[in-house]
Amino acid sequence: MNRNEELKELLEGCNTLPHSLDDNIIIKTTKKRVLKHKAVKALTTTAYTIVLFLAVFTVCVNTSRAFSRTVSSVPVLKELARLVNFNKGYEDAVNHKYVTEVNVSKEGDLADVYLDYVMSDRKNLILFLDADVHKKIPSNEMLSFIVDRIWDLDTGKEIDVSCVSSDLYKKDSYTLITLAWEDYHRNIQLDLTLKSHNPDCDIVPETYRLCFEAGDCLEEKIYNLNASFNVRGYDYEITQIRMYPMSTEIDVSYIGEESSLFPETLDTEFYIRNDNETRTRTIGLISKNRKTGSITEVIESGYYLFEEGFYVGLSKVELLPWEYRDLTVDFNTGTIYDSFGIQSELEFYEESSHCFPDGNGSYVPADLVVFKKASEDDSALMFFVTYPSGEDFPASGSDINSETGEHYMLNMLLKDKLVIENGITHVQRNYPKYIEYPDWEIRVK
Amino acid sequence: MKDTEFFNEVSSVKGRMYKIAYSYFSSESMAVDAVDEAVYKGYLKKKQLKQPEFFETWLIRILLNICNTQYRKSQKQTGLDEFPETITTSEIDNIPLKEALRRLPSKYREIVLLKFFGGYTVSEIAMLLDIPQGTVATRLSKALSLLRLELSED
Repeated sequence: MNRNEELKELLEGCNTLPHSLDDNIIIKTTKKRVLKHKAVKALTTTAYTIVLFLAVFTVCVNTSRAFSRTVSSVPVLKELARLVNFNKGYEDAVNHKYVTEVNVSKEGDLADVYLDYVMSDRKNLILFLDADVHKKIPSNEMLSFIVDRIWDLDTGKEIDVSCVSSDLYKKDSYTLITLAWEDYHRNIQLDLTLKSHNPDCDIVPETYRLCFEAGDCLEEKIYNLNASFNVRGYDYEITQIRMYPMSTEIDVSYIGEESSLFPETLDTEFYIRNDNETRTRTIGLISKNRKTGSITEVIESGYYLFEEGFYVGLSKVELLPWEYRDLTVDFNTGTIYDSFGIQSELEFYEESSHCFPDGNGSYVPADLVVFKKASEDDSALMFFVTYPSGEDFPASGSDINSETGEHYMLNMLLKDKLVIENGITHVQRNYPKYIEYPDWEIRVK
Repeated sequence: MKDTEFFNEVSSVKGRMYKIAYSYFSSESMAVDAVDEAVYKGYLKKKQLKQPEFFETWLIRILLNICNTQYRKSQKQTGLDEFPETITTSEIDNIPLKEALRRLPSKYREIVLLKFFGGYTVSEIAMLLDIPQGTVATRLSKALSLLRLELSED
């Protein structure tokens, strides 16, 4: 297409006048704004001196009065419990009224944002957010809330947070943001940005500063254990379980001869249960502190459920012995092999191109080599490789063969990150060689 | 100027206003917001317009100020820099026209958008921007050459 044709296309895009610019709508909109302008002007003069006075004595000014109290309204609790029912521990906490009403808000050009409720303990903070968006958002655009920074107002220090989940703004429901922190903080200042998912979109992101009190925090329940188990020749031990109102942490150590062998354990899945219910890992909770020799597995809380005692068990272990780590990719034959032979479960799929974000709001094209891996069940494995540079690139997708119904995973390698000589390159595998289902558990308390 | 007169004038020029605003943002919602904002500001200041025959010029200037302000704000957010003055045609060739227009230096961009989206002549653009016609012609010629656009006869 030549330039003039491109221009013609652009011009055609704005030929139709939107309905919102009909004459009667323009008149109505303008007159409404004029009335509001006059009302604000009348109030401004007298309010001005009062605002100055308040500014001297407040660190953070919200547009509506900030207070915090435990929520007791049953309809509200029911609604909040429904929103968090993807995590049974959160749901329990809400049903046991472990929710604080904070009711702070901030006005902006893009939206007015409301933080109505929070839940917090020593490990997690959950925010229930709402917004009135002033601009018309095209149907193919999505807005989301991002936490920029968060401070403890008592100490003045910024709070380190991790595992922050940002959520899509929902017009008729609360938007949830969950953060993981290392200790409880009561008086909090939060910088929150509302922005579009689409970096090419014309909606300008807007940041809001909110101050609130997180409410009372319940202490964790600690269980010290020396429970050991063996999986495929590897010895492990659970040393402690800590149960917080919103999560459970399980400390696991490798007690074999060489502690450096622990990284050969790619993943473990624990659970806690009583006779009626089981709690496992769920969305938003991951294993943390995976250092040599020990990990902390994080799963749903059983704080309110397991007062009479419970079992801790191990349902799955993924192992990758060191000798299976090095992979050779042969583009000449379209195969991947390790020191023991060809990876028969992997096969060459295609070479293609895709656009990836460059971290600066733009998308850049990249050449890909795509391999597919057969999956045995619907919970297809995600698998990664590590490049010679040491980077991990978890570019995976899944697909289904429409003729055979075969379900498989696709692993995409970035061609420019590979060092290719004579059509051959080397990467490090980091998906499991063995998956064990130990069926091990022990009673606690 | 009475309200009825004001809104009648707006009605006759709103199509052009929308196209100009749209050319800045390529977004219906942002273009509508910019037009609404310009009409609102124009309504508040309509007493300042001494010569009603220049209503369109006056309102389009308000619109251009609003578009330029909003455009600069969104540029900071998206990180899309303007081309340097020394940019050449071949360097722009592979960039889609929509993006190339947005990244033209503002003195060229404004003229190109008023010409093609506003449908204004060189002399009308000179009056809108309050710059000499010769300057408009020179800048337009440079912009067209950079973008490899052809101009039909006025």
